[in-house]
Parts: sequence; C-alpha cells; structure tokens
Amino acid sequence: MATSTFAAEALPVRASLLLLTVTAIACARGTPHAEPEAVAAAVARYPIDIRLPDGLGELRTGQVRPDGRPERVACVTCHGHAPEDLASRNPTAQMHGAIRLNHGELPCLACHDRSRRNNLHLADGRRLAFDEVDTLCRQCHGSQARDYAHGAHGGMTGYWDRSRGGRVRNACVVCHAPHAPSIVGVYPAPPPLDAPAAHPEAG
Amino acid sequence: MTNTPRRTHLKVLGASLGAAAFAKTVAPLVEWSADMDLDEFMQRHYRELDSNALADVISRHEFSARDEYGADVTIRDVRPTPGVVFGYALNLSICIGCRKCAEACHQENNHDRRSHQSYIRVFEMSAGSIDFHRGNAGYDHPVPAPDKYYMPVQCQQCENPPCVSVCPVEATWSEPDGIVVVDYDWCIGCRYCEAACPYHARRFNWHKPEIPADEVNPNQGLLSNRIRPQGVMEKCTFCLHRTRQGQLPACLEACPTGARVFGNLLDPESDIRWVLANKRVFVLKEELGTRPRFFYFFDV
Amino acid sequence: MDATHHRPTRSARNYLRFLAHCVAVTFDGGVAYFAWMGVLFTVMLIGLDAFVTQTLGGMGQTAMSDHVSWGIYIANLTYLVGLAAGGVMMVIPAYLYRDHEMHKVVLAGEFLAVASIVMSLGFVVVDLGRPDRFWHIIPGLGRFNWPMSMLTWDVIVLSGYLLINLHLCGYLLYTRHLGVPPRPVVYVPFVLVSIVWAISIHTVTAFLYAGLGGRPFWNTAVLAPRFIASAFVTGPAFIVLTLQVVRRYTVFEMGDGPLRTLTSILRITLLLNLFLLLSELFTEFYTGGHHSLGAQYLYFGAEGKHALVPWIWTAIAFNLIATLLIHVSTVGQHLWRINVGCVLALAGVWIEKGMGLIVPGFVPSTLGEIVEYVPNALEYRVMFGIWALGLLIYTMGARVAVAVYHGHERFAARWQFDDREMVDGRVERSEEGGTQ
Repeated sequence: MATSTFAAEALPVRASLLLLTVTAIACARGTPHAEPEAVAAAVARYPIDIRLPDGLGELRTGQVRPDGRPERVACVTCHGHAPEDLASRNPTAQMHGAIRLNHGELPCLACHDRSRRNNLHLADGRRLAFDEVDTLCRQCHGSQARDYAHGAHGGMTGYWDRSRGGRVRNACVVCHAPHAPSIVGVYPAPPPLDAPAAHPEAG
Repeated sequence: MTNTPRRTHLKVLGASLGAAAFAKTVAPLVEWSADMDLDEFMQRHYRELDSNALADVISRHEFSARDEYGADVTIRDVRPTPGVVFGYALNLSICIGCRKCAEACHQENNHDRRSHQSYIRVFEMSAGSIDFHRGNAGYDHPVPAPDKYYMPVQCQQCENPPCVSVCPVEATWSEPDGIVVVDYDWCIGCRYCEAACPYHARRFNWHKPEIPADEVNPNQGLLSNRIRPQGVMEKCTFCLHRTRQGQLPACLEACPTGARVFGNLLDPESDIRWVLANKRVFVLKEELGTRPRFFYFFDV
Repeated sequence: MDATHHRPTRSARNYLRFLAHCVAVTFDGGVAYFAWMGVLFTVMLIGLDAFVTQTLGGMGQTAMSDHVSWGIYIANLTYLVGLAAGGVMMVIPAYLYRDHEMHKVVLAGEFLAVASIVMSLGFVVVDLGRPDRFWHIIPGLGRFNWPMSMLTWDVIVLSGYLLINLHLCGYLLYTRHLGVPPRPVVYVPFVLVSIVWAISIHTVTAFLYAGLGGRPFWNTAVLAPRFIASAFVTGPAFIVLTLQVVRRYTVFEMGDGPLRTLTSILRITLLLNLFLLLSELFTEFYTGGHHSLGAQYLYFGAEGKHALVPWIWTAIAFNLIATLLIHVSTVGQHLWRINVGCVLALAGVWIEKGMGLIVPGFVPSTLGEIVEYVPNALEYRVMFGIWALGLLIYTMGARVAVAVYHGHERFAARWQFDDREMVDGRVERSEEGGTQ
C-alpha cells in the first residue's frame, strides 16, 4: 500500500536523515555565505539574494531624453545629504510631476524622509537607504511580509534546496511600483490551442 | 460443384491477388519495423535496466535527438533523494493568470511546438465559484480581469494516483519522492491513464513532437523532459531533472507574482510545510480520494 | 455408439489435419460466396491500410484529442464484447435446458463469440499508440499490472473466452465430422465455464469504465448490469438474423425452434435493457448537478454543442420500436417483423453503448471543458476493416460448420479424408451422426 507522506513516525527519522545529509554536503563544500535569517546552526545554506529594481533612488521626470529614453534624475542631484529646509521648497515642483501617487491614502512623506530626501524612513523615524525599501514595506504589509519570508509571495529563481544552491528573490518594489503598488493588467501568453470557446456566462 | 482446372486456376489467381494486395498494404509497416533497432524493440522496462543497459538507452536517445532534431542534448537519469517528497502549493489570491508558467513548461519540457502543448492549463474562474464548468481555459484578454481569479492545473502528483492503478503494463508509477513518472519507452499508448486522471493532467503524443533544433532544451531527464516518442503518454514531473538536483521547477521560476510554493514535504522547515501549516489549503476533487500533493490556497 | 480410444499423439495429429482441412473448405464455395468473401477481404485491406497510415503518421490523424481520448474504436470494442457475451444465450438453452434444436445450431453462438472477440482485440490494437509494443501486455513477456488494472483483467477474460470458444467449436465440429458423440469430459466443463466466462467478459469491460471516479458518467454501479442486458439483446438478435441467412443460402436445415427460443429471450432482455436505462436516466436527471453533465450533453446537448443528440434519440427510438415489434410478433407469422426488430435493436444498442457510452464520459472533460468528437473517415475505414475481418471469420466458421453438418460424406469425399484412419480404425458411424 501507499505510504502516508505525513506518517508521524516516519517524519523525525527522515528529517534527521536530511539534516545529516545537508550537514555532510555543507562540510564538504566549506562554509557558504552567512545567512541572515535564523537557521538551525548545523545546516549550512546558500544565501538568498534580493534583486532590487533598476533605477532605485532615481526619479522619472516624465520628460524624454534626446536619445528617446525617459529622463531619469537621481534624487541626490537635488537632495543632498544635508538636512533640507522644506518650507522653502514647493513639494509639487515639476520634477515630481510625473508621479501618480496611488498608494492608499499615503502622502509622500509617509515613506520619504522629511529632511533627507535621499532616504526613506520608518514610522519610528529611523532612516533607511533606498535599497532597504523592503523593510519599509513590511511595516504595513505584515501578512505579505510574512508570506514573503516563507516563500509564499513574490517571484524567485534558484534552488528549493538551499544546501545545494542559493535563490534570487525580487524585492517588493520589483513588482509593485511604490507609488502605485496595485498590479496592473498584463496580456497573457496565448491560450492552449485545444481550448474550447468560452462557456456562456452561467447564471 | 467440382474442381475443374479452370476453377482451380481462378482460385489460385484470386488467392495470389489477395496475398499481393495484403503484402502491399502492410509494406510501409514492414519497412518501419525494419528501421527499428532490435534493441529498441526488446528494451526492458526502466526498472529492470541495469546501469549498462541504462547507459545504452541514454546514449541511443541522445543520438536520436541529434539525428532527428539536430540538437546536442545531455540526458541524465536523476534518481530521487531519500528523505524528499515533493509538494507544491499555489496561492490563488496572487495568481494573475498570465500563463507564464504554462509557457515556461512548454519551453522547459521540450513540448511539441505544433500543438503548443503544456502540462499546465490555466482556468479563468468566476469569483465565488470553484466550479470548473464555469471556468474557461481559452481566455485571451488582459489579466487579471475584474471578478475573476485564475486556477492553473497540472499534475497533482497524487499519493493514490488512479492513472497508475489503471496502467496495464506498469509504464507509469509513483517514485519514492512522490513524482508520478512515465517510461516513454514502455508505454503502449492505450490512454487508459488519460481516461482515469480526474485532473486532465496527462497528455498523449498524437504526433511526433516538432521542435526546432535551436529551441530544444538540452538539459534533459530520462523520465522527464527528453523529447517524447510518438504514440505515448506524457505528464508533468515537477521538472524532476531540475528539482531532484535541488532546483526549483520551471513553472515556479516563471511565476512573476510568487503564487507558487515548492519544496520538500518531509522537511518541517520548508516553505511548503509552512504553507500547509499556516494557510487554509485545499486540494482539487478531494472527494475522489486521490490525495494530491498539489495544494491550493487563498490569502485570507 | 462407439467409445473411441484415441491415442493422444495420433488424435492430436488427426485433429490438426482436420483443422487444416476446415481451413481448406473455406476456400471452396459458389460465386456468391466468393463475391462476398472478396468484398470482405477488400474492405479489410482498406481498413488495414488506414491502420498502417494511422500508426506511422500518428493517432493525431484520428478525430480523438486529449479531451476525448477514446473514440469509435473503444466504442466498438465495448459493443463487440457484448455481442460475444450474447452468444451464451444460445449455449444456456442448448446445454443447461437441453434444447435439442438449439443444440444443433449452438455453434452459431460459439462462432459469434470467436469472431466478436477477434474484432474486440482488433479494436484494442488499433487504439494503441504503439501497437509495436503489444508484447508489453503479454503476461510473462512484458509487465502485467494484474490485478490492479482492469485492462489486464480484460486481456485475460477476452483471450480466455476466445480460447474456450475455439476449443468448443473445434471439438464439436470434429466429433460431428467423425460421427462420434462428443465426450462430455472434454467439452461440458468448458461449456459451463464459458457461461460464467461470458458474463465475466462483459462485467470486466463495464468495470473498466465504472471504476473511474473522475468520470461520473461511467462511475455508476448499474453499468455492468446494463452491459449484460444489452449484450443479451445483441447476441440473440444477431443470431436470429444469421441463422436465417444460413438457412436460406445454404443446404443447412433448421426448424423455427431456435428462433422461437431466441425471440423469447429477446422479449425479456429488451425490456430489461430499457428498465436499466430508465433507472440510469432517473438517477442522472432527477439528481442533476455535475454528475449528470455527461448525460445532459448526450441527451440534450450542452453549451450549444449537441453532436450526439440525434444519435441517442435514434437509439432510444430504435430500442423502443424493436421492443414493440418483437413483443407483438411471433416467429411463425411475422418473422419479418422480428427481423426488423432485431436490426433495430442491433443498431440501437450499437449507438447506445458505443458512442453513446464512450463519448459522454469525456464530455465535459474532467475540468469541465466541452470539446466534441465526431469520428473521421480514417477511423471509419479502420472500423469497417475490422468488421469485415470479423464477418470474414464468422462466414468462414459458418462455411465449415455447414460443410461438416451437411454431411461428412461430401466433406470427406471432397477432401479425401480417410475417416477410418482419423478414428484410429475403430469406425462405427451412424449415417447422420445424430449423436448429441
């Protein structure tokens, strides 16, 4: 008869076998890169690299460059490292005109640091660099962050078995534009050739 | 009636004509079988092959990939890893129905280009219903559409697979890591498994697959994505040529939203186990007792 | 009568010689016989040619698809297994109820079984994507997934039934030819086994479908009883017709007795078949829901697709008219009505448990898609080819039986048998050999 996958007595035995195997492989290979997440100390694992989108810390102005590509300007071009005097500036200056903010009710400064515009900030005021943006997202999107931490949200490539290879994962803002995070429609790959015509809409 | 000479002659003539016509009709079949290697004809079942026989089989298939498709391929017989049973879960809340998984499957598994075959069929479902009869696999408009959700269906790698029970020649079986495989060299093409599968997961090679040489995926598994012969069954193997080496399946890597979760069901630390423990998962057609290892869930 | 003491080897040799002569007899006949055989042979070759095309170029040349992966081949298989089983409706009266007139013609039922099984096996082979790998399913040579796969059961029961009936046909003809009474120990056990076996072949064939939980249209306990009931319609109906053909076109003499018995059987089985159909329809349509979608498609069409609807209503009409005709007619007075009834019943059941059973199992598909199936010319060519092969075998059987029964004298004279040698020099034969 078929054996039950979840047979209670089989599980610890198989799991410890796995652990042994994994440890053995890890020893043979030397120590892989350190893993930031909490992992059983004995199990060496390949890392998870987070892929960040291009153009982080840059702004699309909405203008077109002479070569036909959209114009992008790094935030630091205008926003230096020194604290800025906001009162003296118009927050809706034309530079930011191309941004269509559609992220709940959030204003710009919910994420962008008031005084250092080349940074983000958390709710407690702690500043973040742009490449730490995922930490910012996690403040509000706890359930997604939890799913993401367990591989149940967000695309990835690489190895399911991290004793044999690493993974590359997308940062939140690869898929979700931070100013308008809802997924926009895409055109799907072509349907199967043997698909019948759509069902008439059932009542 | 008596056997006059004339009558006998007529009979002999008739019989000769009949025999000649018969010979002419079966001639292409005779020619075809003459082309066939005796080793190929006599090849034993996968599980009866020793390492030498297996090496012969593999080199023959590599040769014919070069010969018939002009592609240099490497075929490996990757065996299951002890302590690993694969499971798959799919988050219906974040699947957008883009069919990138089906497309990746098409490429990865060396599917026939002519029929644009894939082991994955994505259904556009009506909100508030998990009734496939109201779903539609042929949608062709921007996704996700309002009031729809999307349900990709592929082999559920059942723990109690009806397709395996019905196969008259044991050409399909459940591997120790839970993958239901087909010995493409043993299948007789009766399609009983296709009738038995409740998930439309099996495909038949109605023609010899057509794949341009430059599109052939050269990284091939003997029991998975090697180019299949005409007239045999095939099915999703969770990309065992990749996954048995620790890699993620092609459909998961292609998924832009991360709706797919794959891993070892026996590893309590695995992502898949986390999903089973923390999400309200369900399986398709649970009432049939097939015990799928493919799970679906919605974000609550 | 003489109790002959055959020495085994010598008997076997004589028996083989007899069989060789039987084959030779099939090459003898009148113009009509040769014309008929010529037509059958030609149609068979056309079918063979289509099969060769299909095997070399791929099954994609048929109308089947991943949605409807079995079609008219498996439909015919189902029907023919029934026809084979139906032959037992002659065997039971002949041997269990000692109906002497039936006994005289019981070979017609046994030859029907042989021809039908050969056709069934033919339809299995042409449905295979890889007929070159047929040996994989032979126990001992390949790998035989017994007892799990119902298809392996089917292989066992069909080939077993074929062997049993070949043995019965051969032995009974041989003893008849010798003019000695058949020895009960050599054939009675096989007759009894064949009765049970006839039921089993069709039960197993029904289980083949009924065991699939993913196909609610087939997943019904009444499938096997329906198969048996309709088998007992087609078998007797076919024999009623062929007995009359034999009576009319050969020198064979036969009274109306067997026709009467078979007609009485038909009166019951036709009603039984309709009753079981009614039970099925009630369950399907009163309950409704997803399980009845196949039936819905079959009887009324679904989503604007209704390829089978005209067929199934034709079948129901045929079965009703046949039932009516056969109930209001008697063999003595309205034989033609009974004949019409038999033809209608044969056609009605062919539709009902051929295409009407196989295709709705696949429509809608397991994932609710409605892809239709209509067999194409290639499939019809293969199908007619196999039917021609079956009729060829049946005709050859009838030819041999008539030759043997009509008189061993003439049979022997033409083929220069030394009959005394064949029974080992202990010949003591009655003139007509009426020994059974």
